[in-house]
Amino acid sequence: MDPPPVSSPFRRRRLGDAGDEPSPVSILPDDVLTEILHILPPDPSSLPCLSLVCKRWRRLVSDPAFHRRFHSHARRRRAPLLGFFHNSFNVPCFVPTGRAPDRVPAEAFSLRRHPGRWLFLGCRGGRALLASPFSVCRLLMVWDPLSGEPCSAAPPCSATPASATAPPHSAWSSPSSTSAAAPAPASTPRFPANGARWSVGGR
Amino acid sequence: MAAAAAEATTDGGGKMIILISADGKRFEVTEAVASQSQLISNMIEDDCTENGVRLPNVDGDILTMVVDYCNMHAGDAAAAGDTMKASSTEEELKKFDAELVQALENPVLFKLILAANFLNIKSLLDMTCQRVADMMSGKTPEQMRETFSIENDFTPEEEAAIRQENAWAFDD
Repeated sequence: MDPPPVSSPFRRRRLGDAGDEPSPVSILPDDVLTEILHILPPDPSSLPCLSLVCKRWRRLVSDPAFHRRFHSHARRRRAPLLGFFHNSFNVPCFVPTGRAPDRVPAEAFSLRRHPGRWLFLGCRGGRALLASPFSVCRLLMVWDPLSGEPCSAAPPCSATPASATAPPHSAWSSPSSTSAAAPAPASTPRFPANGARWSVGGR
Repeated sequence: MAAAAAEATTDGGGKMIILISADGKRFEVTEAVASQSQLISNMIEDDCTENGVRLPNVDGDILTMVVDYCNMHAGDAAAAGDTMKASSTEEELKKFDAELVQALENPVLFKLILAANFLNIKSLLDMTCQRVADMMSGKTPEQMRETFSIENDFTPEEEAAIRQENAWAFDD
C-alpha cells in the first residue's frame, strides 16, 4: 500500500529552479537545501559567497530565520578568530586577523555610531563590554559588534561604594592595553545577502 | 506473493517487508532493516505493510543503495538488544559509509538525499547532506555553479551590486 503522509525530517516544498538542464540541486526542496547550507563552515565569507551563486540560494541565506539557525549551529563548532579589539584612539579599534577571503575589514566593527570615547573591557559570547570612563555618568555598554547595536546600556555599579569611588581606569583595567579577541562563533558575522546591515540573531 | 512474503520470518524470527520502487522493483527486507526508515517503522507499527510498501518517488537504483545502507546498519541498530545481529563492526560501517558517499556522483547523490528525506532515514540524510556541504565548502560562487551545474540567473548589474555589498569576501 502507499505510505501515509509523514513528517519527514524536513518539510517538503515545491522546487523553484528552472533552466534547460536543471541543476541536480534543483530537485531538492528548499528545506533540504537549507539544511545543507546550515552545516557549511561558519567562515565569514561563507554566506556572501552562497548569496552570489543564484537567486534561490540568495533568498534562502537572506532569511533571518536562516541566520539564527546558522549561527546557533556555528556556536557548537569551531570558532573562527575574526580579529581583536584594542583601545588605542589613533587607529581603528578592530584589527582583523583573518586571511582573504575571510578577512573582515575594520570598518565592519566600527563604533562610529556611538560617539564618545569607549574602552573595550572584554568579549564574551559574541558581545563586547565597553566603558565610557570620560563621560559624566561613566556608562557601560554591552555591544553587539555584528549589528553595531548596543544590547543593553546599564549604568555602572554606582551603588557599590568601591566602584563609585575608584578611578575609572583602575576599576576597568588598563584602557590602553586592553584587547579582546573578536567573538566567534557566537558572533560569527552574518553577512546578509540583501545588503542590509549585519543583523543579530539568536537572541 | 507480497502477502506470503510478509508472513515469512527470518532465522531470527523477524517478519519480512516488501519494498516496491517507483519502477516496480521489489526488495524483501527484514523488519529490522526496514525500520531504519522512520516512515516504514511507523507503517509497521500501524500494521500497514502486509501488501508491501510502494515507494512511488524512489527509483529502483536508488532504493538498492538505500537497502544496502540499511542492511549494513541494521546490525548496528539491533546491537543494543540483540548481539547476534551485530554483524558489522564499527570500522566496517565507517568504511562502508565513506566509500558510499565518496563514490556518489552529482545526480545520484541528490536523488539519494531525496530518498533519505522521504523515507526519513536520518543517519543517511545527515551523511549525504554533509557530503554536499563538503563539496560546497571553500568554493567561490563560480566554482559552486560549475560543480552543481547551476545557472547564474543574476543580471550583471545585480551580480555587481551583490559583490559590492561585501567586496572583501570575494578577494582572492
